[in-house]
Amino acid sequence: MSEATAIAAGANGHSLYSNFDHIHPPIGPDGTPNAFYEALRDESVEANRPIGWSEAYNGFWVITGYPEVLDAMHNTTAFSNDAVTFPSYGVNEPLMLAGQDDPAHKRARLLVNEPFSPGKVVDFTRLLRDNVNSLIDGIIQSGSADVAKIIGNPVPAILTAVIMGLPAELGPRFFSWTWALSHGSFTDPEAAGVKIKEMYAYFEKVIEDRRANPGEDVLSRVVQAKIDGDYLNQTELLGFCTTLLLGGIDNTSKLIATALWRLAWDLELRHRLTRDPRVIPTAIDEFLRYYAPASVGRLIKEDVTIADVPMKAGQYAMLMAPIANRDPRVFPYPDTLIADRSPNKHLGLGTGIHRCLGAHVLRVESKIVLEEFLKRIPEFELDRSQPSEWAAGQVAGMGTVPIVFEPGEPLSSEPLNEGVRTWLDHAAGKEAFN
Amino acid sequence: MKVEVDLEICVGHGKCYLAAPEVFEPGDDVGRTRILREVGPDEPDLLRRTKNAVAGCPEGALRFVEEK
Repeated sequence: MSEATAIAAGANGHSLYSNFDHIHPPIGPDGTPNAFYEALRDESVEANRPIGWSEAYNGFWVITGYPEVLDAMHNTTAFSNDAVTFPSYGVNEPLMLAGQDDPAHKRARLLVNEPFSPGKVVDFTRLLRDNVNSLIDGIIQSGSADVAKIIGNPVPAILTAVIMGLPAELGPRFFSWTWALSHGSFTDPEAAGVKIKEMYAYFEKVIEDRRANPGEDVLSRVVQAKIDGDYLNQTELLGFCTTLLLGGIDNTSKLIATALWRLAWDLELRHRLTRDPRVIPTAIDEFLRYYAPASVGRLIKEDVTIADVPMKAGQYAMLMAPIANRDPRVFPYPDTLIADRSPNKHLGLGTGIHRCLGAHVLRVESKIVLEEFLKRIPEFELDRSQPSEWAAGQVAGMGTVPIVFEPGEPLSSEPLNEGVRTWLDHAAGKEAFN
Repeated sequence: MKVEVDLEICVGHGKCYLAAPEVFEPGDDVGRTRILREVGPDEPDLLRRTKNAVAGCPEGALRFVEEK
């Protein structure tokens, strides 16, 4: 038994840490891993064990306590983002920003901060509202829909395309690439590899085009930028494209789908938000706490001790946001979703230098989705004849959310734009984008 | 009461201007906060929200300035 295992196994030799696997967590009766996370949190609190060792994936540290995750996120010298995905996603090129440490990370981040600033983000309000309503138009007469597929996936995919200056009508394809990275890498690596290759080939063409015809979009800015007098090389540019696409689509689609799933059965919460939409912004932060989509990995670069647990250079660690977000030392009634919880220092978007670049974007996106959806379809419930499915992984959330509702009238008979149209066709099975 | 922000620590989570937009607003490209005004005891709702914003800053970048 290694030194690490001895610590994790504790007095009675049995610990939920010992075969902890965040890619395949046990799913509880509510359809999410939250019951398991709460059990692990209980062990963390009762045995005073905020950090434990898992034997999965050749061994790694699992950090579940709030102050301990905070320490690890702030100590960027010992905890390197070299292993931000753990086990690693099937990418050839390093993930720029997310997979970088300072000072390289800081230089890269300065390039792209401005388009994601709060001031710029409000410019998307109109577009988002129109897109959401047009997507709802596409389903409202039928009285049923998978809202992960028809709202959760399209909204961030279309907006990310706009921000990156890519054609919005390729949204379903972009989404399939991010799904391949986050889920396919583990469930079907071979098929995912094909998708990822397709993604790189596409971005190679885009980069070439932006060099020749620069525009106002983020990718043009990145392609034209010089860091310390040099342009970014092809590897860095591809890594940038991957990070922006993945960061823009994956987490937000999970957050929106999970929020709509919760609202489909939690009548009290839904009626509260319908009656008083001013609560929606704090409710979104509470969804980020309660159903934090993303947890992050780190490679330990120098020996470090947190909460009396010595960790060694070369080992890996997972910083588990959904568990730290249930730490009773920080959150009163941690296992209850409280729509107007404030203060709410959740770690759903990280903290410190790697804090989510798109935080302001996703807040506006999810706010507008919930506002418009509850206005147009205030009463809906889960379609129990079909399964709602949790998509597990390092970025996790509801992947399928079938609902039924009283049919209504569309605002317009035609989809607003090609971006919306391809998603509606895709959901109706009309367009095979594969 | 007067609030102070440490711009060396603030990274622009934006939770303060969500909680109390009367007191905080985005101050730069990154979204680091700018303090707009003080809050008095005659504004209990705003004071409560401002206190929540200070307590809820994920970086601990906000604090109340001690009254002399």
